Amino acid sequence: MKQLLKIKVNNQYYEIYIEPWKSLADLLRDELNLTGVKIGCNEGQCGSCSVIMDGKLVKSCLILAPKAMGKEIITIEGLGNFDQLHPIQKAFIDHFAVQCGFCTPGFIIAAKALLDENSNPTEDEIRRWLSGNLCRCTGYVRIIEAIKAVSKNK
Amino acid sequence: MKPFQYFSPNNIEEVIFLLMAYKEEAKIIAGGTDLVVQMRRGLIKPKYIIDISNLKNLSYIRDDDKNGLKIGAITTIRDIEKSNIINSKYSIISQAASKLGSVAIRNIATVGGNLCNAMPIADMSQVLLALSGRAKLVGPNGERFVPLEKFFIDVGKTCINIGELLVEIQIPTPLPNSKGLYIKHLNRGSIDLPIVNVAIFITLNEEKNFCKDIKIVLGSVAPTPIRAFKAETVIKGNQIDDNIIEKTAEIASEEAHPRPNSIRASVEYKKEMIKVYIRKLIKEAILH
Amino acid sequence: MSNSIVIKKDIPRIDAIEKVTGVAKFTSDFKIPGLLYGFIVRSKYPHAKIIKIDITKAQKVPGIRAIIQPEDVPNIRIGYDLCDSFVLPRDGIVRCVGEPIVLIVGDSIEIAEEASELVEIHYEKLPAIFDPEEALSEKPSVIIHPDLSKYQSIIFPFSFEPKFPNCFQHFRIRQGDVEKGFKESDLILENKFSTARVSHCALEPRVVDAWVEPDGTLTIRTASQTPTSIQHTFAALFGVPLTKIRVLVPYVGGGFGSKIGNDAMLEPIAMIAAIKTRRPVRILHSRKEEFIFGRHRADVVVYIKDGIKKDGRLIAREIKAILNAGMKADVAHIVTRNMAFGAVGTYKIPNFKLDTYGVYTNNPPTGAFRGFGTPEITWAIEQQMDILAEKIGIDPLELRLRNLLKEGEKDACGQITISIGAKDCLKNVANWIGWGVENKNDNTEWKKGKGIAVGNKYTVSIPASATVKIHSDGTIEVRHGSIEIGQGIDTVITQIVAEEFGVSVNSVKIVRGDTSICPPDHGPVSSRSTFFTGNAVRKACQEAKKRLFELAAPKFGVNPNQLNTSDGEIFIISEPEKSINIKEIFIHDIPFEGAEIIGTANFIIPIVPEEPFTGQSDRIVAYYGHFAHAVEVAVNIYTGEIKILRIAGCADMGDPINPSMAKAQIEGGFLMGIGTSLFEQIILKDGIVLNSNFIDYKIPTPLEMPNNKNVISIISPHSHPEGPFGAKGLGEGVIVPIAPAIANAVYNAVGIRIRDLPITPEKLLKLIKKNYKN
Repeated sequence: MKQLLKIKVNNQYYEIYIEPWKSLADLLRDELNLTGVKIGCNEGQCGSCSVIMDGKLVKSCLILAPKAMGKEIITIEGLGNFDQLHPIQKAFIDHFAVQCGFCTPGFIIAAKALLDENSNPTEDEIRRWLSGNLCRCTGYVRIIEAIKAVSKNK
Repeated sequence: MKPFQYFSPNNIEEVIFLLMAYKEEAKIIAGGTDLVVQMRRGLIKPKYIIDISNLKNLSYIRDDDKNGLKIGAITTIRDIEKSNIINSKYSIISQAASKLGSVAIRNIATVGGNLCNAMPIADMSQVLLALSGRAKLVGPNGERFVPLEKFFIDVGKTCINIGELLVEIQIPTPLPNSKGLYIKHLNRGSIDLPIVNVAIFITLNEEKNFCKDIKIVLGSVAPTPIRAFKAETVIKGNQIDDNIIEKTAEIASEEAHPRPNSIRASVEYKKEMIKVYIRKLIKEAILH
Repeated sequence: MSNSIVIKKDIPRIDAIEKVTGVAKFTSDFKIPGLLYGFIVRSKYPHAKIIKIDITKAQKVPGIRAIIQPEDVPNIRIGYDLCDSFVLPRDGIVRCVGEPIVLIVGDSIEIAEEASELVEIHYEKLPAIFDPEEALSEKPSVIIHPDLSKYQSIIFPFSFEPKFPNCFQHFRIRQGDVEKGFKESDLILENKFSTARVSHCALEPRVVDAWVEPDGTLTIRTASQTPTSIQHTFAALFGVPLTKIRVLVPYVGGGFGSKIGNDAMLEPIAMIAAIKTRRPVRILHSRKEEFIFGRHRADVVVYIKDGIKKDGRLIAREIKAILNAGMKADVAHIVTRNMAFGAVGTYKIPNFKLDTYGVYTNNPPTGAFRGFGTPEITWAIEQQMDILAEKIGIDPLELRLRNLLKEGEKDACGQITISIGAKDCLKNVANWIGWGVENKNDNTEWKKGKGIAVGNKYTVSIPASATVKIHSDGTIEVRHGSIEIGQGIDTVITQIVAEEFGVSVNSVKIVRGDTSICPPDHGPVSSRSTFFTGNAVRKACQEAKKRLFELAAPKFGVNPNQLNTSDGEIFIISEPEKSINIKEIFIHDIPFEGAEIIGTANFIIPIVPEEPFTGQSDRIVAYYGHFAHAVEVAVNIYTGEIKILRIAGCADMGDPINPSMAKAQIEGGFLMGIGTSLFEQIILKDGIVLNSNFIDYKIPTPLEMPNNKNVISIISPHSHPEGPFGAKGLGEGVIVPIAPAIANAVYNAVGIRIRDLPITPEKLLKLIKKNYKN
């Protein structure tokens, strides 16, 4: 049975009917076409589904849709686009921190959440913060370089 | 995931009502980081989900010298990790909190969920047990308190009866010269499940060479977190020297009874790690 | 190349902006109206006869639109190479736990999953065999594929071993006389090594969307590395011409070999369901299914026997390797064969004997995994080199340098060595790690050690083709048949085209991932994309320019070969001020002659098929890349934990077209190398995968990698004369030497050698307690 959900996503308000067993990731991808939110494991281990909910970094695949009622969500699409990139997005491009791109939105969102809380993290702090995001292509090297570069410029 | 009916009650009475109505077919969800995974894997198939995350009055951290520390059941692990109160007076709790999964998990996982999920690997269970914590349950017959030693029955099973809800965890004010240390031995990263985890809460004399009291909790080596009672008696009330530390570590290792055929580590390795970490933690406790 | 515009430059990846903004589309991001969802019912047993399948209850679930059973699939065995499997078990036998038996198709995945629980399958259990050495017997207790001798292969010659009923591939190399060589040796050393089964763990799970267009074209969108192989499989299965089959491939979230051919049978099953229901059908693997039925890297046992002289010269080497393929060989048929080339590409060994055996067992299937057998064989070879070095008292680096093949020398297969940068690679990493500088081991708990290893990765010769079109506004469109799996092929192609036409990368448009439009290529396998697709593209550019100049020449009154182009202008080379704009060759977007200005080209490297019993050939592989790693580790003598302190990787991949992208590959290689060395293993018990999620199967997180200042990726260019702008490939070679380098470092730290992957704390601690003296 679908339930009414009122939610704010990337600064826009939505009213959506959705089954309670769907996840926030399903809602964002299927109902709002925000396919930048990826599902890599559906068990909250890979971090590809990372979004920011009420200012906090969360794994959207673990959040049952009704729990997002009244919440404010930011996805990768809300950070920046072709015409205006967020500094973290630009840093990922400049530092070659992107390969297959599947984990990329999750890492960028996680990085934003980190820098919002701690604008000058050490490399150890960056690694600890990102330990809930998995990447199979990059070895994390340039992802971390990109984040360091952004934090230096802030 | 199997379809279910979802409720989001606004007060405890409603929660109890729903629990009594649906009994074993209902599950409580707070953060959901454990529950959702179990449901996706088909390990549990509840017909009714009762979401208690809207019970805002169950999220708090309060402390005073008379009553000790009280943590609301749906307080997030992240809030516990960052709490000034806990970091200054009960740092072993924030040590454990900081090691639970990654930030994104800690932002929604709750201390109540960690306890009620009753996994032997659970971080919060161990340190709260080491601090002589007790659980406050509320049910159709009112409230009751259960010391954490009696809270965990088996893997995934607690003493909570149908209709009851965990609402608070209480920790007594620690004695002076007390120190809590927690270690989680992982093969990899932070999202891993531990090989073993060990919590000690030790009360020393001023010179830090005599053990007045100690609680040793071992995790991942039994169906529930366990107190290493025999190991505790070896060191409690004695001067602390290398021999005593070694003997304590050995006895604790013998008290551990991990199940064979775990894919994470063999029985021998887990027991060896208990030894290594008891040694390490006690040595660290007397150092600072 | 110092005058190049964009070659050898760090041009930002052209797909990066789509990916960082989240708009890049992967297969499951596409919305299809009326989409149905498929859920696979899988075998519970490792070996069984299917007695009965009862779907009556399942069919009654509201929202179920079709149920595909084994009797519904065509009665032919298919494969990417060795065709040994039906789409569903049409012969009534299941051969591993997790093998697909029935597909349930419903309006939602929840409905399909619910109905799947109501399917009743009655089995008759059969004895099963799991150990490859047991299976490799003349009279094994279980014969997994009784009709093996009747099978056929597509790409490589099928050479099963009639002596061993479970052996689908026996590859041999013979050169010189090893027995004589051993007699001449001063020292003989024999050892056994083994590697674990591992999983690719590409972040994007396998997924297909299949549907039938109104005109009957079978259409599939899939995360695949090899779209043309899918076309051919469908042609064989459905009896439909290639022009009535269309394979679409958008961005792919990681390949590493996991998306080659009909890897998990998803494409054919989905297509059958789409034909039956006349609706689009999606099958999306859960992460668990990725682990239990996505083809693994096979576990391999390697026996290696070396004969060496006191002065460090290798005289004879004998290798026997057994690959545990599981129930389906298909690509493993090629892995078993090609791993041999990893054993011959680096060292000069006058007497060489190699036998590789691929064996069926009742384990889940295996297939292509980054490195394609070379990492497994290098695990053995590069540890053996260290053991030899210690025994004869020569520094391990020095021993390697002494035995490397030189340019122009013949290797053990008879191939002439071209472009071998192994020496420089070794020296670079040795230098960085501080080779020869004593470790300060004053810490009581953690003991440090350094290790080094060298390896190679061949690339097979599979032709490529490309088409380039010059548009009336001077922009260039290139259609290529490779796939962007993260390796950066679109960017490399863009750079090649931009260089050829003297335009900015923004003037280049890439069209790929559609078999209806793109010329055939086979796809990104065997580290071939830059070399083969790149070369085809480059030639196609040159063909297009030829055509352009032929059309422009009359306007200048010169010969076409006196013209060149840059920035959308055509000019006389000796008088560049005399130029016209490309648009002047067109009227209303149509060129003076013909309909389009197009260049098409293929790129083929002819190879010489090897002699069947000796493996000898003048050229079996297209080329080799060479790679070296040096690692510094710290080992905890109380817990057995291993920390990677520092790691250096150096690649000879020819001249890099985009150096930063190449270095990023080396860094990515660190992750897979470290993961497969220390943490990763598919744990099987009686054919059941016990660790089928990211918690129990451990790929490295950012915490397992050393800090960035302790990591270095080095390119050591050794131009290949046939490569596009001298480039080769490196996608796989970047992991090849890592595991043995780590094992060698661990030995250097605590004197203990682990011969079976992964190197776990538990294994190490057991031996530390027995043998380590502080």
